[in-house]
Amino acid sequence: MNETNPVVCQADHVSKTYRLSAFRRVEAVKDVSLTIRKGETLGLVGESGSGKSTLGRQLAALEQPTSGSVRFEGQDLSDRRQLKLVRTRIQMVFQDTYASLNPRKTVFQTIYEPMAYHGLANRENGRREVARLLELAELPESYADRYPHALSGGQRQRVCIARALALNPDFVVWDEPVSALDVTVAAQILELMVRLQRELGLTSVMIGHGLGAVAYVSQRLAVMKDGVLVETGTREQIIDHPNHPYTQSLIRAARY
Amino acid sequence: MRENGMLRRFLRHRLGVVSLVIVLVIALLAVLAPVIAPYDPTAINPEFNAAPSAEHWLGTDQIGRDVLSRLLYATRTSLLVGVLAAGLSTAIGVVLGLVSGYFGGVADMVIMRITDMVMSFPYILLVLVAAAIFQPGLWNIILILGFVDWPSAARLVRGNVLSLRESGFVKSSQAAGMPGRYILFSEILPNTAAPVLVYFTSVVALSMLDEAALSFLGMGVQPPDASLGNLLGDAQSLTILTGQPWLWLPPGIVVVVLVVCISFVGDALRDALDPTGK
Repeated sequence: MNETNPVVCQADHVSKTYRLSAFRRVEAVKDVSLTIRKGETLGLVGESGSGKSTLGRQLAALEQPTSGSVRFEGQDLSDRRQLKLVRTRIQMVFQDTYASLNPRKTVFQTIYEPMAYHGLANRENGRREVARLLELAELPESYADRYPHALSGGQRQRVCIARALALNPDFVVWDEPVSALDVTVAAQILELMVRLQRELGLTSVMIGHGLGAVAYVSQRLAVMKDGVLVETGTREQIIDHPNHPYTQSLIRAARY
Repeated sequence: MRENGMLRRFLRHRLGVVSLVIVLVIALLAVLAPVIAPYDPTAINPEFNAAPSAEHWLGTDQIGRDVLSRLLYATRTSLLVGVLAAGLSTAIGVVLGLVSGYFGGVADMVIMRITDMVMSFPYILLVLVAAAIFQPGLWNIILILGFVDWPSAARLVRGNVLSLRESGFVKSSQAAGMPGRYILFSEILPNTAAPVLVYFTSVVALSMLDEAALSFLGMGVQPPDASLGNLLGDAQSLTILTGQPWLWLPPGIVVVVLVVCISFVGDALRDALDPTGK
């Protein structure tokens, strides 16, 4: 990836601590710094509890870091006013597709309502716009009037992807988008991701626990363990010359 | 499509359907009381303490009022108390639970401490004292039961909101820059409707029992107005209990049937509203 591309998202010494009770705290992310450049996909790998999803939520500005800062195109996301300027350009796709869709809304409502609120669609072109987004996510238009419970996991994830793309984002955080899916469905979603990133010029962070799926869509990789970033580099560097023992064990595990 | 699924799941709950029909029939009779009651419920007839007969199907009471007419009006009063008190307490509970769960922080702490406080009072004592202070009577009973019953609704809604707030669709709405009112009323509230509705039916039944208990103790609906509770309260003496079952058996049966049937309807609703149910 081109080192001269403009920086889209920059995490600077980000730490996130959750208070479990008055006496118990958990430091989910410890002093992580990252740079994500335009058009690239950064893969964030690590085991459960490594803090990768927490970091993802900070990057997507769904949570505020305890210390450190996340900047999106220079705007400090911990500042409400600056966040508001770029809010809709940062989107996130989640692992649990069932919890990601409001069970009381049709696919159409889920995708259309945010578009209508931001003036990107109205009554006249709403159906057409939703159909266009569904097509982008490779779903037939007829699915627009279905409720989430009448869709399979893969179809639900496609709806989530269509929704994430509805507001024309520049930056998408994919939080284990295929971990809960069957392998064949997961492969189709991964191919869809690659296609979308290429066609729409998306900048992405792909979070996952297995190296295989993450490496497939990413140009650069970052390995997390216990809240700390242990290694970053291009995909080839990491896979061919892993330095950290944890990275080495991840690569060994990817063979199975 | 979804609504049909709900109806289908409800209809499959045979006990619930039968109960719903019984509740609706009783409610219809109660609503139509002024039309179908054979006598004025407070009118005094020449024959008192009369056993059931062709003129008075359920007999007359100690001062010659027609028991069937009084029973119809009493059911009307009790249903009114049950539905309105449950509606009031559910409304208060939903609002406080939403605020508490969604906004968190200081609002949550204040609301939850008040909730704990109200819950820590012995319930019937609180209601009795309130009734004594505010004068017992139909509308006061509704208000008192409504204002005392809300904590469990508030807790129920708060718990729901807390888990919904972390769900992917709420997060996605936040990422889409949707305003708080949209998230609260379009994403969260509709998803708390099912448990709230089920809760509401159980509180209707409970409020009717509370009204019956209060009226039985003389702190509820005041004579000459009839409620199921004060009909039972009037039948306390041993001679009536042993010799005039038509005074206490009918209101007792109506209370039991209504409460049991409303609970069954609640159970059926809970199953019907569960979208994962088959």
